[in-house]
Amino acid sequence: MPSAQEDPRAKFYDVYRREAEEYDREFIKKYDEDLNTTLIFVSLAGCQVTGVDS
Amino acid sequence: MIQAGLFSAVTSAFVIQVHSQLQPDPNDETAALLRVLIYKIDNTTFGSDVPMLPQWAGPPRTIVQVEAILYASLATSIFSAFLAMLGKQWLNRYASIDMRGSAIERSQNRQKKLDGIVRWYFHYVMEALPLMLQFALLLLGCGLSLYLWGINVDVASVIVGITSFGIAFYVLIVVAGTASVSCPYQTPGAQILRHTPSLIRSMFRSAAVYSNTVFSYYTKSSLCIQTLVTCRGLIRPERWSFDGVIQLELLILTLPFHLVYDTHLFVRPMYMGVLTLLHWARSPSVDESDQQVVTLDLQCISWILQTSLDKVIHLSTLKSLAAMATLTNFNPALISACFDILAGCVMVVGGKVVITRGLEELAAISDLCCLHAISHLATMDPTSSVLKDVRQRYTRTFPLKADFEGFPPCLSFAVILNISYSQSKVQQEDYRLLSNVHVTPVHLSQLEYQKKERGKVPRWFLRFALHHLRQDPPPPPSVVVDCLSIIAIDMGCTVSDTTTLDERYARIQHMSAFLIRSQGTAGGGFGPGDSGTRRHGRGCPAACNHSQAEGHRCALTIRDPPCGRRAGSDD
Repeated sequence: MPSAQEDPRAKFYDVYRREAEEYDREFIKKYDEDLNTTLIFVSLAGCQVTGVDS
Repeated sequence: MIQAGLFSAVTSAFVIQVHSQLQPDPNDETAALLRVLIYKIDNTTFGSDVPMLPQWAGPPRTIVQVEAILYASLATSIFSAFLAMLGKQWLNRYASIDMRGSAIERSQNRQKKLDGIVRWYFHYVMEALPLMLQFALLLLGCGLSLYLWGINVDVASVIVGITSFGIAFYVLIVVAGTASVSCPYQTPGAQILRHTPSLIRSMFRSAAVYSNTVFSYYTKSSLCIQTLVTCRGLIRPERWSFDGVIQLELLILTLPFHLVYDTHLFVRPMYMGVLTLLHWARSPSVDESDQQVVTLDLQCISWILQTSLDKVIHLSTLKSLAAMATLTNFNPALISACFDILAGCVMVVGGKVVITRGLEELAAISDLCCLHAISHLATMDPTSSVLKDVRQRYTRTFPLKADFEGFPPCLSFAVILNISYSQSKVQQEDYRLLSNVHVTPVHLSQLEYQKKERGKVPRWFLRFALHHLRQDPPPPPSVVVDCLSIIAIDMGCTVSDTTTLDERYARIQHMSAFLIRSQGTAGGGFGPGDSGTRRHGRGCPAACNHSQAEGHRCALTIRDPPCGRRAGSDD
């Protein structure tokens, strides 16, 4: 049984985990901010529409 | 929390202020009733006017349009808020680690989720949200302009001016964003437009398939109409004619067949879809789950190769790939990624290919992986477009007369080229052109053979050889020779020298004779004497065919355990 240092698969997944964490952080941050902007915008636009409507 | 609060405030405001001019105004009615009352008391108050109770004739047309537009805007924005809320949930679900297990299993799970995101077009849905909001804003602007136009043209012209300026500005930034990637005013629309040419191409392709079906339906329906017309003509006996009757009979006879065929065309995709669904629903067996692990590993590897640009990460990834025993169900994009890494490790200086200093290990291992994957794909799916793509990359990276002298992975390089060239039917004659570097798969299999103590050519290489021998029409004679040599090497023969093609011909005849003899079959080999005069590729075709036929027999007999293993190759 090869140790974790020698087994290429374990070593690869170690690298993979680090890369994936970095990628996911970026990915989630990007869309999360987009969605927050969307929600704020919707509430403001909704205010506008209801104001005109009344 | 901010958005939640704002959103609820909007909703409550909306609920309170729902009344509008769509309903009759109760104040008007009250005023009219008062007028009637006063008139009853003193009928001189209004002069000669006789006040009547007004009949409400429904809301004005403009008001209905304005309301429709405004509510459309509101509904769109609320729907996008709903999607945004769901989107936040989806993102959280993606980010959370929703399973127990080792780090490897969790990584594989994450890769599965990421693949799902790509397969289900998550990015498109997320990008569509702002588009919906922009559309809602546009509706608001239009509705507002229309509403104010009916009240006061001066005020309305301000709103119309600003709205049209906004629209013009948006169109401008979409065009700018499409034209230039570096333009900071990027919008989802610009990104879609930039990909439109390829989109249109794929749409046309699928549309062509459908229009074929639709067109056949169209012709069938016109046939039906024709039938009806003919029938109508036949109602009047004076118009009967022999031709008309024959035509009608033909139409009536063939119509059901046409209809059945067309229904078959439509039903078959559905049937296939149901089959696929059933396949998904079936729980994977133990064997399949083993294969799934390998597939997941490969998915992880190809993702990281495509995402990262770090050489260290590439090195450890490729090491893991090289250590994998089998490649099943791998993503063909893996090959392109491997080749790109390999191409990134070398430079062409004055027609001579050299490895960049410090990247020797990476070059060697990416070369091995690339070769492994390409040969696998060439065996499994020779018509894959990825092979063509790799060939294009190759010709783009290296000049035609690139000098591979003193280039350690040059052997496998030539094999990569050979595989990709011999796969394309058009370029089959070019195979000979490539052997000017005197490198063939035989060299490589010999190298691999020497490396391994077990004394076996790698399985995938053997598979490659057998695949080529199985092809119809048979590959060029030089390929057949190479494949037979590989098989011979696998059986333990020593193939000494492969420099000149004629010698190889002579040797291969020896070899086939030897193989047949060792199998105990009475097969007549060629005499070695006539081989020396034969020119490669231009020999008499009958002899070539004969040699290929021998090749097929060799390929077939190799499945039995060879009794003459490790015996001397020469007579």
